[in-house]
Amino acid sequence: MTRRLRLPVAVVRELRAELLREDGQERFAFVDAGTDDGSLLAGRVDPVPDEDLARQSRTACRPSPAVEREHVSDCYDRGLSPVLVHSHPFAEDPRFSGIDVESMGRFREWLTGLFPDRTFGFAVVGETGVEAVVRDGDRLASLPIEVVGEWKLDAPVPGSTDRFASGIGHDASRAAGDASGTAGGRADDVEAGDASRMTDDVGAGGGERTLPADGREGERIDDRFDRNVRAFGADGQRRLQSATVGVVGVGGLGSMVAEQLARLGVGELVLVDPDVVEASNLARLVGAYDHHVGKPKVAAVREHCWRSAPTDLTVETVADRIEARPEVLDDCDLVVGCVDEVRARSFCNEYAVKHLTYYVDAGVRIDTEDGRLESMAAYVQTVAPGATACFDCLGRHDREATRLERQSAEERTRGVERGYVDEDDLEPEPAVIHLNGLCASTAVSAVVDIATGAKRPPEFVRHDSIDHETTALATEPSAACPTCGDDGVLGVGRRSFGDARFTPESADGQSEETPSD
Amino acid sequence: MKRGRAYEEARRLGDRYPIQYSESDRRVVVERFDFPEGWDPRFGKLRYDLPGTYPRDIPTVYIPREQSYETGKPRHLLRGIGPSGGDGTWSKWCIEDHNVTWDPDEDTLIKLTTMMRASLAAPNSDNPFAEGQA
Repeated sequence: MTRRLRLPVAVVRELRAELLREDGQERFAFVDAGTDDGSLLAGRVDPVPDEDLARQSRTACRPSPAVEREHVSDCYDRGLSPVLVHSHPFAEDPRFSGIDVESMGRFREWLTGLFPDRTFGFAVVGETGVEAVVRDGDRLASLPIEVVGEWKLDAPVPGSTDRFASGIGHDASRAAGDASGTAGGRADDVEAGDASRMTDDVGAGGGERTLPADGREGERIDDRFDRNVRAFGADGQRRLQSATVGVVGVGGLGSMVAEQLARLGVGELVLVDPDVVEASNLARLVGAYDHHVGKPKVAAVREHCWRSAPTDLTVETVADRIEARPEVLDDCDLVVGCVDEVRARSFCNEYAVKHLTYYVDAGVRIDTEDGRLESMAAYVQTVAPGATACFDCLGRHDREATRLERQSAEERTRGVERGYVDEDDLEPEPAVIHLNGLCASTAVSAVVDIATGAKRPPEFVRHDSIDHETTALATEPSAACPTCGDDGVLGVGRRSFGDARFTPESADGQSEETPSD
Repeated sequence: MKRGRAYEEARRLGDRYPIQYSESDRRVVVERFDFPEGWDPRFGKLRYDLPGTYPRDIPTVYIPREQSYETGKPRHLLRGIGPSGGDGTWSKWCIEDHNVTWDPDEDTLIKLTTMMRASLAAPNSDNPFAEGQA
């Protein structure tokens, strides 16, 4: 995946609100970003108050060196990378000025002297546009912008790209400008500074071709996808072909999702499920037959996907719990959760929030009372971290369910004996193939919407299969959410602090903190 | 949010007890915890295994297998059930028996340790947090 600055919608909104005010003064903010395969994942915005700026005018701003030092050091201590952002309130779609380039070069030299192995970036925001660069050795390389959940923005960021695009961006002119070796469209600005410090990894090393929007050039599309192309265009089909989608849980629901994605022409699937096929699964597990009983579900579903879409489909299988192998999702552009355990769904949600990956959560629920059907519903939630609500924003984490899920069989038995577990809670849940099918199709519809950009994806859909009513809701992230909120893990990527020992204050009043790894 | 929530909570707990924090094992061990009256020995360890869903879910708690209570095996102690892959030196303490309302916005490892003190002080009670209240 080409490296990018991934900006959740919430970050774009906050930068615009904090740095672009009516007085026209330039302003400054730090954005703390996780790193992921060379990309910067923007999480928290920390605006610098005007009184902490050493310099501020309508054409310049800079925090005091003490503020810079403190924030940068703190950011690295938290395992994150700082992106130093200032505004050009006078510009719609801004570019770094010659003065910017010069001062960024000096800052790069200073910071790499202090932290030789650390990543950092710079960005400039205008009324709608954003331009960014990242440290690349002893240079600054331009960094394409990706807005996660961009459909939620009133004013999209011009020139932004997305992970499914078959070209590098919607705005080919910017990519062309980059390829010429300049930081942006205004070559004179860069030449006024130190252009030799700027390199470009977009046109030369990005490895992606810009295709016309109608997709008439480039790879031939297999005839089997002709009706798809008529629905969402050749570009949409190519976007699906370039996509890697993780399907976590390939039981009755996930097997249908996987099959539909394969038949739609998704290029790569990563199937994750620790279970083997049981006889009781055969009424719902598509592609599984008697001879699959006792074999891993992922193997049966992979075989079915290959039969469904024999051309150019790569399927990776992982017969393990997702919590044990989260790294298998690292190359996924989008993850679909089709698991029946709440803890696995919460885990996928948190993974998506940390890595700014799209997550589509799909599930069904059937409630019965004395053998009578009480409720029957399918749920699909689209999580675009920092743009829509996440699983936890909506309070969907069920602690009682996870308590039981975490218990061993022996613990559950003893829990029943001790009177702390209701035996009924240990019975298998009801499940039927037609409700799974409805849910799977809704989830796949969300995947296609996100990947092709053909229409706005559903954010939360509930289908009541008793009354045959569908409810669709738009969602917003919650600042109080423990996962994607202010104190959560939005965009932190994968961090490691190792092990540690902490001891109470010693006799001299000093607290000890000793890494022990 | 600094070095991850569990790390920061373990560090704060370290203001009171010696703490071992293992990121890779998702484990926090409180060393020299002062067990309430009735327990023998009076000082021992508490082990918190953090679920992959922490802080949304309460950690699983273990006490050393050698800990004994004066009136026999307490109701919430599960001898013979320890951490998976463990060496048999721990027994599970079912803090969740108390129908704990764990709030990820508010509750921390410090709060859990306070809850453990109350639970161990009334080890056969279903609602030790209300003990002594009017």
